[in-house]
Amino acid sequence: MAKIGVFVCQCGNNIARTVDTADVAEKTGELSGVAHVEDYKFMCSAPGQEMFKKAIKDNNLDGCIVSACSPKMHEATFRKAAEDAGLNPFKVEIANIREQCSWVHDDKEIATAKSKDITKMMVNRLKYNRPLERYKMPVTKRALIIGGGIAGIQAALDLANAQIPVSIVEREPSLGGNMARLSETFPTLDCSQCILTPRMVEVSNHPLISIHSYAELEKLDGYIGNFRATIRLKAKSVIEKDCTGCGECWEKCPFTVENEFDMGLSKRSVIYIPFPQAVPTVPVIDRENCPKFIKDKCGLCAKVCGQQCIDFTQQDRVIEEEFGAVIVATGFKLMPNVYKEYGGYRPPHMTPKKLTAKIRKTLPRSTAGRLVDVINGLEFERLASASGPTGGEIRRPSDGKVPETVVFIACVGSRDCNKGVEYCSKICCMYTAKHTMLYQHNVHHGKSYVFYMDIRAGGKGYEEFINRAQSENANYVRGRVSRLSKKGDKILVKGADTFTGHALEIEADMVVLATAMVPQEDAMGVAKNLGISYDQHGFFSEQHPKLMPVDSSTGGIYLAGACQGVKDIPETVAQASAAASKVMQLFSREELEREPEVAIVDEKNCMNCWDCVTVCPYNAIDRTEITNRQGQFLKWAAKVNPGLCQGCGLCNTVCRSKSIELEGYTDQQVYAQITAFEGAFV
Amino acid sequence: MQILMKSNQSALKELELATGEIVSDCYQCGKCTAGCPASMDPSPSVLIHYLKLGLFEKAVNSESIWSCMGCLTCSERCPKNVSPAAIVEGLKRLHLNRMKPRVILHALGQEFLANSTQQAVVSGFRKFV
Ligand SMILES: Cc1cc2nc3c(=O)[nH]c(=O)nc-3n(C[C@H](O)[C@H](O)[C@H](O)COP(=O)(O)OP(=O)(O)OC[C@H]3O[C@@H](n4cnc5c(N)ncnc54)[C@H](O)[C@@H]3O)c2cc1C
Ligand code: SF4
Ligand code: SF4
Ligand code: SF4
Ligand code: SF4
Repeated sequence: MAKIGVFVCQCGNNIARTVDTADVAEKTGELSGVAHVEDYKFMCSAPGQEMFKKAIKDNNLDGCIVSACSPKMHEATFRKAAEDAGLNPFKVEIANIREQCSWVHDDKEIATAKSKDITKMMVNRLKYNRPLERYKMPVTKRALIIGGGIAGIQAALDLANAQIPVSIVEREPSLGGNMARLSETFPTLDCSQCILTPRMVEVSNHPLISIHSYAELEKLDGYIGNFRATIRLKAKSVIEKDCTGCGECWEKCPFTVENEFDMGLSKRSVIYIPFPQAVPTVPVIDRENCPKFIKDKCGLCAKVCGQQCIDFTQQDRVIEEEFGAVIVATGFKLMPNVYKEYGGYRPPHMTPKKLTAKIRKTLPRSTAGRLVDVINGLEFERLASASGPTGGEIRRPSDGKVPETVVFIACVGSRDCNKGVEYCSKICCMYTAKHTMLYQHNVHHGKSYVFYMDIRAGGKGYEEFINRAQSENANYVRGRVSRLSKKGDKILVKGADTFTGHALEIEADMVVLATAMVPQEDAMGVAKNLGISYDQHGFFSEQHPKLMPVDSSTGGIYLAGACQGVKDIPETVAQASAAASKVMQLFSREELEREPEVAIVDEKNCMNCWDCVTVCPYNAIDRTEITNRQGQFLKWAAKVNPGLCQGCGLCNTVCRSKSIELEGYTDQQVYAQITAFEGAFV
Repeated sequence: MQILMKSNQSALKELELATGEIVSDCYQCGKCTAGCPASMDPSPSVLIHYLKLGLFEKAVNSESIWSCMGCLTCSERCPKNVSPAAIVEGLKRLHLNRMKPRVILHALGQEFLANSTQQAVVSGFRKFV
């Protein structure tokens, strides 16, 4: 006979106002198997918990029901208390008579009857609860960071400085990401590269950080604490350990292609580093465009390299490494210009990797029908950057003239349900203001106009920054632009001023579009690879929008930077540090404890349909061979990895032979709970 | 001018029902106004603003609704998927439903014809006769 204790909580007045808790306790006490009841004011208070522990010990209880608030609130509290009193924590269940009863009813009689029912159902269920043990998992104390923008760099440094070894996987030949492209940064107008490159150097010199540049993650297996990553190191055609970064090769390389780092505004050699301060300073050969690979011509770089480190026969290498945690920091890209009325589709450099050299040649920057002097924000950053194609002088791409009138258009692609995305990109108001200043500082007599709808400047020092831009001669016009068209060598901007309600026209020399920030092209593929979820736009989803903003939906994988949502640099860095601290928390333990409420398979009964394998969203179920003692094969069966299983129960619903069950939610338990329902109050 | 925000918006409801547009979707960006080739005054976004403020009479009695030529430029470009052209068309229809025909064709006069875009006159014929 079970010896169950039932503890009914009044929750001050929260429950007692509509539920007669004494009556619930008394009635429940009459149920078979119930050995002890209490009616108490605040069960979760320290004296309440002491009373709970004492009752367990004194009465030698083998199970407890706490009729109180939602298990989300205090299940952990009472399970811990039970453990302290020597009772298996999984023999404690919560009957929710607050959120699901007292708070939603006014009639005391009904609410009391319903509370009795809820409590009775849990008592019946508890009779079938098995004592469970938490799983213990080892932790590999190494972290993997995907993406080497400022988010990845910050997280790597934070972790490595806490003595945690880190590997960064960066797709491009160098770290830096989009921040390396910026000229100066709001709200302080400090030079972006000057604050970024010291960090890059620190990363490259840190003994605990290894950089896999020009590499991509192919596969991630395993679970929190125990991931196995398969990483493809693309062939650089350069022997990395011998290269001194002297630059002979890229200076002598006779062939050039569009420079994607400069957003196609300049040319780079075929063997290249993206920018002078690149980390690592090891060049790669862009094989798609190298005549040595296309038609076995040239090969000059191999001749000029004093270190003999050019290797045209190098192959991609695939390596496997073990990690305990992953930080995803793959960043963003700018939305291509999808507006016919704004000069049409973006030039090829927006998708540089997809286009062969041949197609690229047929689509030069002056594509017919495209307005060449309509550029996006990152292109403007490159024009304004001292290391950019014009050496920091603002000149327009078509003919190199200094633009006398520049029109900036805000919210291009953002806040546009028709052709763009519904959300506000949040940073473009700020960088547009910055651009007007950079322009003004460069072209003193120039005129700048900003077409905007609202100015969103909700950060520290941000509104002040906007005020400064406006006082430095930027003319803000409240309205959208309808169309850009060519007029001589100028661009005719047809906009509106909604305050007067009239259309207005400006003849501009150059137009800068503040286009929306969107996720990387391959973001959804990355998410699927990692088994994390993403929103309708392709930004990775956080576990909880308020309380768990850096956890992904999968344990052990954390998010940092613009891959999770639009962000400026301060926010990106803050999130990266937060993600690093989450990893430190995880690694501070020698072993991880996992809740035992995971699926278990009845191997004898399993009929190998593998429906559960297909349906499991966490890839937690595998196939395994069952052998007899002599090691002879008997049959196949499904096998659950308790480290991966999140206890969602989907497999339970598809298993046609009833061979898979969720610990803590077995059919027996659920059936017992449901059949105890009386519904006297209905 | 002082604006009295009216709670009784039955005329607006009627317009929304007739056009299938939701006036409150408009966030007054002015892109319709910026591209309207008919140089309407009040412009499409201002007409919609009147409607949002409950100034239905002001919108329906605006001269400019009659110079819209239904080119649909505004509807094509509106970032909020509002169709100002449909709203203007709806205003014209409600105007004609509630009131006398606005124009007698032979009374149009040379001046009107000279000052109106051809498309506007043609698209208005259905209403005039
Ligand atoms: C025009 C413009 C101006 C701006 N100006 C400012 C400013 O003045 N001040 C400010 O605070 N912010 C500014 N920002 C915002 C700032 O650029 C971003 O907040 C910041 O770059 C985000 O950093 P990140 O590391 O998250 O992403 P990113 O900089 O995009 O870095 C992501 C990195 O991940 C790599 N990567 C992507 N996918 C993969 C993959 N599958 N595998 C491996 N690696 C991958 C990329 O190659 C890249 O190196 C501006 C943005 C724009 C567009
Ligand atoms: S930040 Fe400003 S420019 Fe960018 S989408 Fe939002 S409102 Fe528009
Ligand atoms: S669904 Fe059931 S029967 Fe099918 S493989 Fe999984 S456990 Fe076995
Ligand atoms: S374009 Fe659309 S959202 Fe903008 S003012 Fe006109 S109707 Fe309103
Ligand atoms: S449909 Fe009418 S309101 Fe819209 S742009 Fe054309 S003329 Fe102007």
